[in-house]
Amino acid sequence: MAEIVLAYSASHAPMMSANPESAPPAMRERFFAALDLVRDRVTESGAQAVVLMSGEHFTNFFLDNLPQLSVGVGETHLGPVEKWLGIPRTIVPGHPGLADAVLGGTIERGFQPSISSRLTVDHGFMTVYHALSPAMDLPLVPIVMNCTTPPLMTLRQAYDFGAAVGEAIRAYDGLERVALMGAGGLSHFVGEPRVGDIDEDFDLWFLRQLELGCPPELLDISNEELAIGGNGTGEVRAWAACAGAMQGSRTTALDYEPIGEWINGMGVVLHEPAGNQADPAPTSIFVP
Amino acid sequence: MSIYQMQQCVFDHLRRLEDPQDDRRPDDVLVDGYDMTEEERTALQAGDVGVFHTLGVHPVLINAYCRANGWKRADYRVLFPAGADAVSGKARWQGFGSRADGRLDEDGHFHLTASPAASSNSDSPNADSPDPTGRPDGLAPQEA
Repeated sequence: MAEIVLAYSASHAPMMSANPESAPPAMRERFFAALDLVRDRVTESGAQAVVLMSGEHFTNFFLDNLPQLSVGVGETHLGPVEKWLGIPRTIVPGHPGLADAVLGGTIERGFQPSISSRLTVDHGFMTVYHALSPAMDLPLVPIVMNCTTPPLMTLRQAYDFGAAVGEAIRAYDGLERVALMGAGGLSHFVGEPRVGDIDEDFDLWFLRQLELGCPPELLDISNEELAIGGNGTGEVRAWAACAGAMQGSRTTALDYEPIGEWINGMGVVLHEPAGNQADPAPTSIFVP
Repeated sequence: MSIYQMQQCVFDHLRRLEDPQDDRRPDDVLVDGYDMTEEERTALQAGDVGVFHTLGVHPVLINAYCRANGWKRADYRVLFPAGADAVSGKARWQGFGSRADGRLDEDGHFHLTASPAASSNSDSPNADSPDPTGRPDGLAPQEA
């Protein structure tokens, strides 16, 4: 049976790849240091594949047929599609066996993701995947989540879906070590009058709720209230899903940077399961 | 109502821009073949994302269009009708803390107690340590 050796969630603002120098140096360095830390931990764990959940940006799907969830089961995935992203377009290896297990396992557990044998991975995946696997050779199972076009899953539904993803991975006997990632968020406003605003209170509150184990205070929030934090902020559904898969793990908010130049609240949260917890523990941004 | 067609036009345009063999300018939108109003067609040809927004184009499509054009936020934020449809209201996280009130300091630490100075000599807690606040939102009681 596969073990989820490590999980984390991170923001995926395109500017982190397209124009990283635009951010204030100290903020940029702390953010990338956190990504370096999780990359090193995943590498040390010997992960054989990564399952990555991220929001849809009308890259694969349109309003004629927009699934809430879709699992990329292909042998490869093309990405990134954005010529301007600063990451070379690549054929990324998939892992059909693990993908089929996630697809079938989540359906068995009450969810209905669509199937895609030809999923394209845009900046939502490639910014963070490239940071994790610079050679872009770690087998990737992408899961697309609808995070911006109502009606939307609630945070609790996303959390429960993540729990199902975690169970499905752990029931798969084709690999031994798998990493899991949620990508998107934190707060941002796009394509509307408040473009560029960042809701720091939301971001920091959300990160704290993850550290506290996703209490009802977080998971019972309505979609209408969540939207107050930004029309792109709903991508934190991927973070909630990642947390749902890692219940009982040690969760640490490694970094938070409200980077206006990237029009995004940028953060990284690490979930360490029992048996793979660093000693000393990673340092949280939250101090007394 | 042809907003669906207008959005389809933007979606198709973004797909064309992904083609490595296609060197069209990112603001050169092909509008022929879509059942749109003259206002929609004009907005697309002018690249006026403020009108895109007013007519109801999905903000994620608008965002992708702006990024494909290499526009910075300041380039196009002014095109939107300020505050026209901003989502607002009371949210449970408001007042939790930010740079504005000093809880998030310049080193990227968030101080769960009010005064950063009061905790400047404290060790950073580990995430599995008991929550020092006892509150579900993680704030110190006196800060509620």
